[in-house]
Amino acid sequence: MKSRSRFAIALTLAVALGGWLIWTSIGGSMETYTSPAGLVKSDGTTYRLNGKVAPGSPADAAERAQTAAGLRFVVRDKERPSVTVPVVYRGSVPDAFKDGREIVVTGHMENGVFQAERGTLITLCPSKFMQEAAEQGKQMPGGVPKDSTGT
Amino acid sequence: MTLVGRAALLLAFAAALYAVGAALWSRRKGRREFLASAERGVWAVFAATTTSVVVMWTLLLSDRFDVADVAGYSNRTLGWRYKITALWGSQAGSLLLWMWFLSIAAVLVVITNRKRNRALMPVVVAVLMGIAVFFTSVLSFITSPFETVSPVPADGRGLNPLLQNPYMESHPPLLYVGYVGLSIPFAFAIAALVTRRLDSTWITSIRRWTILSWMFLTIGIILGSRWAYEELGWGGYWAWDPVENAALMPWLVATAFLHSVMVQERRGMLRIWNMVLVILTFTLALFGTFLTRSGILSSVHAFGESTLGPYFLALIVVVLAGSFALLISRLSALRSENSLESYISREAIFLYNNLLLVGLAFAVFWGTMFPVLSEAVQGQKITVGQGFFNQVAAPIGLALLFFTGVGPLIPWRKASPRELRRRFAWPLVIAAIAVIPALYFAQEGAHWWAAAAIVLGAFTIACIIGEFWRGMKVRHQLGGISWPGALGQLLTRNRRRYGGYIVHLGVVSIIVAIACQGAFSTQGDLALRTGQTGEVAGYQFTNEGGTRSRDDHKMSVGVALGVSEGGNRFATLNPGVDVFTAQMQRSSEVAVDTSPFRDVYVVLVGLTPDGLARISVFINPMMMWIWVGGIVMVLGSLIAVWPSRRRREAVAPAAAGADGRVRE
Repeated sequence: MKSRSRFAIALTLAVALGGWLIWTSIGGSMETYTSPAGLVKSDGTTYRLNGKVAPGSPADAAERAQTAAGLRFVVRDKERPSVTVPVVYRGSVPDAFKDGREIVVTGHMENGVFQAERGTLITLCPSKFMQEAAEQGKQMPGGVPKDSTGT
Repeated sequence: MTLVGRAALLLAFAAALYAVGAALWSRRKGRREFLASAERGVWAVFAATTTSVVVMWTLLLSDRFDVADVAGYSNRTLGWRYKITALWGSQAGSLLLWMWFLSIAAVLVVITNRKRNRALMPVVVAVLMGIAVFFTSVLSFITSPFETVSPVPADGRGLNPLLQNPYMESHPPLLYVGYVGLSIPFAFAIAALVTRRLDSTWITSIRRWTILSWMFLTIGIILGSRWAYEELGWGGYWAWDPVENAALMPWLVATAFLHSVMVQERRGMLRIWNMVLVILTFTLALFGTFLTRSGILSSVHAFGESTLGPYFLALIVVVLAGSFALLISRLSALRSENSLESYISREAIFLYNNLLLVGLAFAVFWGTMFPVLSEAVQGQKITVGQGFFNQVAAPIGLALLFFTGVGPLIPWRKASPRELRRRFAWPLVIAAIAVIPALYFAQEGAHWWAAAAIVLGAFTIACIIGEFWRGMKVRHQLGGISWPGALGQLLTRNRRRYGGYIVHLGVVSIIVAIACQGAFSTQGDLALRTGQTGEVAGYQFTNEGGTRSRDDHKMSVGVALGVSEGGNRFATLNPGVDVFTAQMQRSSEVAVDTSPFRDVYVVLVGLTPDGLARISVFINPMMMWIWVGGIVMVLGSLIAVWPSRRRREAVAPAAAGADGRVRE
């Protein structure tokens, strides 16, 4: 019986240690997922900004993102297209980046400009895009061929 | 043609429904003959599903663009190989593939259990066919792969160029084989619970299934990483993306299960825990499919949001609630036969390994679901970055590495200090020697955990080699067998044990490579005009001229780069970019020079008309060892599952005796 209670203590300790590890790690890496309309604080809060690339993004986006000046483009709110925010980004640009594409990028607000962290730009191809394609009369139900396969 | 496909799926649905009913009915007194009927039902499900898969492939190969999934994922210029691949490009198609694998697995279970486990089989068949009922009904009534469109388009949209890659061709089916395979241990566990036959018979019957599905899951995950590395062009191979995590979680829990079953077989302990692990593994496999299909999380891997989420969620809830209710009702029959005698014993190490693996799976689950949970609780979607996952996985991975080395050397029940000193002397010496290079590396980047991985890796490899050495020595000295002969005997006579050690070697290779890549990789951007040379991390890159070309469906640019180190030119790399005109989709073609110590990985970012090439260079140390480790893991698993003649003879009569019904 004694060994059993000792085992219980050991187990509790292990679980507590694991919980502590998760807790401290989570605290250090939280990012608020938001749309351009939700970007309010410019106090250094880290945001994961989700929205669409507004028309007029440079065609040579990948190359600009390598220059010191960085890639500048505008992200538009998915629900409220009138709300936009300018973004400055450096690092690798996914192949799928272009006007109208939904993106997620991590960074913070500074003087009304979203300063993105290096290499955090991700593109998404959600179902909305299919509807757009359908509305534009492309009569294709499948929409963009989606990666629907696994990792 | 589409009608045939739909009819076949409906038939599969009906047959699966019948098989569930007949299998359960056969459990009643005097109705045993219905089990044979249920098993024929399994065959019917297999035949019908195969028919609909063949129909789908025929449609894809014959460019029938009146079918939505053909129009959406294929086109005339696509090669026949990718037309076959396009089956799992679409959502309905990938579910069809899943269902097909399930029907194959169910048939294999029926064949291999004709004479064994007759008491378990009714429930096993009912569970497997119950899952089949779910998939066939989704395929028949909610998202059919045979949906047609009008007007019929002249050509299809084609397969996403990112998916036109050999790794992407093979990795989803392999992952699915793994997922589906995990439903077999689950079915047997439920059957053992329902029939109260809770001895170790069910565990031995599924041993091979578990290892094989685990192996396929491993291959699937590794090929997926390989695809990300070669195709996505960001220099990395793993990003803790929800979709990646979805495959990792069941893998982690299945790994825990593979180890803890040995404790049950040997010592009759951890019986409840094993049940929990089997149920969790299967639920996580379903959850993985749910994650990728529901669109509740945003992922790099861009899945379309679909309407399937609620159905999968319902299935998961039913499976979880049902299994755990059943488990609780059988708790009293699952008492442990023994208790832990010492904290330094094989079973204790297995327990630590289990806690770590399940803990890591839990952390990954927590991190993946955090946005959803925080939105539900706080109303604000908070995501956790890759930092979280790395921070949690690094110490747990290191601890796992340590136990990988220690575990096999510690005897069951209780270890004597003298024995421990003798067995660990050499590994400790080797680890001490490894400290020197490890400290040297750690100084450069101040990454203590990479240094720890190197030291622990050396220690673990020494432990494993020691195990082989001791086994070979006994055979060599007592049996008078040559050294290579002794090694061959070890591998053929005790397949699971030594196959397992080989898997461990692969794991060491992967963990050390991951740590080194994570700590010591360097990245640099260069802008080079023709003839110019730039340097990243001691490597010189010379722009030797760009190329431009275009054909029917793509425009391509490329650049030739001479790569040298210290004046010694060792490679020419040709990174490029293709722009597919049909979708206006860019696709980077990275160029990699691999050597045992490092990959030189180059992405062409852009090439201006006047010849200015912008490139991104990644120097990834030890990358090759991730892929080598993967191959070693697969080889080890194959050795572990390979049927040995001796065992088959030994197991067959025992198994026949253990189930009561066959001889009656």
